[in-house]
Amino acid sequence: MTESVSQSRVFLSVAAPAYNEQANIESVIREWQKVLESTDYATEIVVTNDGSTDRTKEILEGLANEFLNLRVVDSHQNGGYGAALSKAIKAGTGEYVVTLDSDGQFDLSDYVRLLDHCREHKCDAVTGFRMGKKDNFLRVLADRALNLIVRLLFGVKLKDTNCALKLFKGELLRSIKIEARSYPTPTEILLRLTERGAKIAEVGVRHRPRIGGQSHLKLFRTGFDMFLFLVYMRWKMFLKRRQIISHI
Amino acid sequence: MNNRVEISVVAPVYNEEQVIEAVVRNWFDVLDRSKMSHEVVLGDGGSTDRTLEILGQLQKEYSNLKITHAPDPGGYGNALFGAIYATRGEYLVTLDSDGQFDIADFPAMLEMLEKEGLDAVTGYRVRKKDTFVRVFADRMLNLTVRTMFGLRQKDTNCALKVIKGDIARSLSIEARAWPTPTEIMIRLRAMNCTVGEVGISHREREGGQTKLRVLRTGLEMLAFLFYMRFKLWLCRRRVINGF
Repeated sequence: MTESVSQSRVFLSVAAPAYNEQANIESVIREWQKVLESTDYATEIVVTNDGSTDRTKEILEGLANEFLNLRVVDSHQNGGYGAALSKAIKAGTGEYVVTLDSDGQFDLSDYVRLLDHCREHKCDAVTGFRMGKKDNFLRVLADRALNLIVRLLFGVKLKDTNCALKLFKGELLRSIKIEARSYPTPTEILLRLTERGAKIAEVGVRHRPRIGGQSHLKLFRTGFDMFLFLVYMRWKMFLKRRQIISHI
Repeated sequence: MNNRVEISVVAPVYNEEQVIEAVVRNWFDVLDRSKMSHEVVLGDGGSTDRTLEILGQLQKEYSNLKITHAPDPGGYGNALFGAIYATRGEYLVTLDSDGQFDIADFPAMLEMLEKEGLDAVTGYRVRKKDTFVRVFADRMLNLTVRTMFGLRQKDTNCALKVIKGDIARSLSIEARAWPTPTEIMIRLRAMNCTVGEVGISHREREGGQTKLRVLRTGLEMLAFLFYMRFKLWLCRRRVINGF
């Protein structure tokens, strides 16, 4: 019997980065497994440990022994959210990929709404928009400013581009390069897909307050860096349209 | 059979039916006389004239002539790098395929590279046979590049360069066309590579058409250089991963 189980076609991959989430990671992964167990298609969870300095890595490895469909990718040093998510995405093989954060603020079962919408409307990707966002005031403000700038610079009219919970066609997502080191990543993915002419829809998703651990976000540094990153993307698009560079 | 290739000569080619045969034959003459094992890899950018036909014929004579394809007229960078990725040489010699550079300059460059333990050697054109406008544009370019990147070479956009094979093959280039040689220098510096320079001769074009319009090219180059500088800054600031 040489047939390898891991070669069978995975329908849905869940991809997430994890950095110093020892307080939440086990309950989050167990919750995800419960959600995926109730499906009748092949699923996998791929989590990148992004050079955590706490016990995240040990907890993940323990869980990987327990759950066969959980794969842990190890970044040997902290490469940032974007690099970690990119590794998790590329290590998966699912026909569809769901991305989200590993801090427990999203309910994975919302992916069903995204998947249904995607198939019904024949989209390439569906992004969530957070309903009743449960973050601190400054973070909400940052996201609002972000959306405004994205609309002005790119003409992209989505309510919440930086929402981490999104669903994509697997092949398409795996072919996208990710350059942003941290905060801008979900928006970057949408911008790159838009440049490729992908059809993107948005669906409301639930959002919970963070329970354990802490957010690793510093507002002004993040805000300014985000702005710089958006200018960078816009500039790339300009150079590409003038045929000065080959790809964005 | 010894499979080691010491020298790979790489160049992009686009609609050069008038000169390409003479150029390729000249390269092989010089390479044979150097007594180093060699190959020539040409990256075709989607030629629509008889260039590919001529090259096909030449391949029957020269078994170590390879052609790669990157159909994208105006995509000098893509064509060049498509060829670079197909090389196996320990050292790469990059140049244009329109006959303006003299391949006989490469042994001196290679000697300097080996003697001083450098990663790359770039040529600088000793200007005699080019229009005032182009000379001026190149001077402005050098000043800009020196200010922005601290590159101390006299002629960063000179296509004739000798680079260690493994280093060249590890580069990935964003510029589609004209800025490519300069982008190579910027990236080598970002990687902390050591680079030398040697004066080389530069001939007037032997037939064929010139495809450059200086002012527009200058502005596009400037836009590209600002992009590279910005990108380098973002990488150092850890906003993006990788340059």
